[in-house]
Amino acid sequence: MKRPPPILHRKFEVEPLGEARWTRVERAVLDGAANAANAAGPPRSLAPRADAPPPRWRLAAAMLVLAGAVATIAGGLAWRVVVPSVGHEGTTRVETAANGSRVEFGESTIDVGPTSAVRFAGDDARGVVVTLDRGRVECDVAPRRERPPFVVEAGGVDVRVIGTHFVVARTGDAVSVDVQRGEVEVTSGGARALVPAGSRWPPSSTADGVDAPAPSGPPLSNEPARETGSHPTDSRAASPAGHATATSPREQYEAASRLEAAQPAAAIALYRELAHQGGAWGANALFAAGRLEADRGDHDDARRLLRDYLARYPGGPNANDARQLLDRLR
Amino acid sequence: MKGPVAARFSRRDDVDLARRCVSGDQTAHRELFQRERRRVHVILFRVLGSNADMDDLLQEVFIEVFRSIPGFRGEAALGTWLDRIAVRVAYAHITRRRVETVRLSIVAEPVSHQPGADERAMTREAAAHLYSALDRMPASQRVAFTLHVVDGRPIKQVAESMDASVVATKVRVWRAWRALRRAGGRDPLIADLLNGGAQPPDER
Repeated sequence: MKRPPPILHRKFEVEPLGEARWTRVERAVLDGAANAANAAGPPRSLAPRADAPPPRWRLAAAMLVLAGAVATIAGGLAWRVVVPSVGHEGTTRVETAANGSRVEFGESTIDVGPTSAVRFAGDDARGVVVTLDRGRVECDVAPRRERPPFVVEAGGVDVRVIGTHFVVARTGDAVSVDVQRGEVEVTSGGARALVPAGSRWPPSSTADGVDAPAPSGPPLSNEPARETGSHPTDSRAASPAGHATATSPREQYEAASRLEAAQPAAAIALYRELAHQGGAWGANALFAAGRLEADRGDHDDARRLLRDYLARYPGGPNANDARQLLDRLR
Repeated sequence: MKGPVAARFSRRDDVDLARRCVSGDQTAHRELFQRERRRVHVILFRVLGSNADMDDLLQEVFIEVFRSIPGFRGEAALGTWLDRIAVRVAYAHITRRRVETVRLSIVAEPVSHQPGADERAMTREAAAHLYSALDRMPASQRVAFTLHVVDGRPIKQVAESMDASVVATKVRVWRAWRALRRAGGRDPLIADLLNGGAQPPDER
């Protein structure tokens, strides 16, 4: 028993953080640094403590969390229709008793409610499928960015996630989805509905999951309910000139959304052109142009576009998002 | 002409950087973050075993660094001072999240046919089991064990990071080691890790 412990660091590599995550952390840290410096009191002992940080730090932390949440919402999270495809080989099953459990799966955290049964499959590299057989899961999913999707299946209801905080509850065949941050698209019986932050699907359900008729939220078929960032619905490749062949406003919008990551300037040009046409897609495009300019760091243009949006559509579906984004840009 | 940024900095560099940070110089804030972010990430990752919650914890560490930096006098290297803050944040995080946690492997099956893919998948599985066992230990033992055994830091350095004596730190490591040996009796992956699969001990 006197044998010394082995050294494991050559076996366990530190998993690197992506540059996008570092950039977000750096931005939040530097934004908060001035406040923290101003709030500095006498230096504290640096001995490890078990207690929580002091109230002043809590306030700073809360501000950072709030800023992060606003940034996340303003970043235009996109949600897609689910077509489950990841196999279930290697599935891990979790059943909870009266207390529930917390499961850390890759970069996501899933709180499994009491008396629930959940299966987990896949991984961050290939996509994650969480199957809720019974009970309730509360998911906090890190933004997926370019990675394969994080999918929750509950009976005949599917939710595809790119990054958000939400709850799925299932009692028998009745399923409810409660979105706390971001936005999700729910698919049930071939029908789809967008569920924004602070909303529940189906609208008549309770948090424990009752009443699960077909989705009655805003349909995605012809008219947009709300600008949600990039959500292409077909696989046609877009090009900067692609809008010349995109005949309907919806096709123009989707062409622009496909360009966001690779050619943001072209996407903004398309959005601006569509915005001039007015209508529901024009409103969405105007907001999207403002959001994208903000993402690119062109804050003056972003502010102009967002103010224009609020002037033209003060009660529009993205009005609250536009106000939050404007606040962040001030 | 200066070459690439050196990996080590003099005490004078540290004090100058700290002074600039105290004066509100945002370039200095960025420089300190860029210089030390990997060091902080390694400590947090080693202690916690994953990148879950990492963004929040990194922010917590650096905000605490900038809040406390007026008290930095250069008695120790800036890196050592940062280590203490990172350890304290990790320690507080462990003690805060005392809910029942199940940590699943994110590699359910080998995803590559390249040489060594199976071994890497098995190593990650073993790491998940190890950290699951560490979840059941007192935070002080976990921090001491992970920094010394998993990260390979000398006991003296770990003791400084934890603001504890060398003897107390050794005791924490050995208690954690003993508990893991017991866990290895029930978990072949942990047993293999501790007995055969690990590298021989480094010079302490």
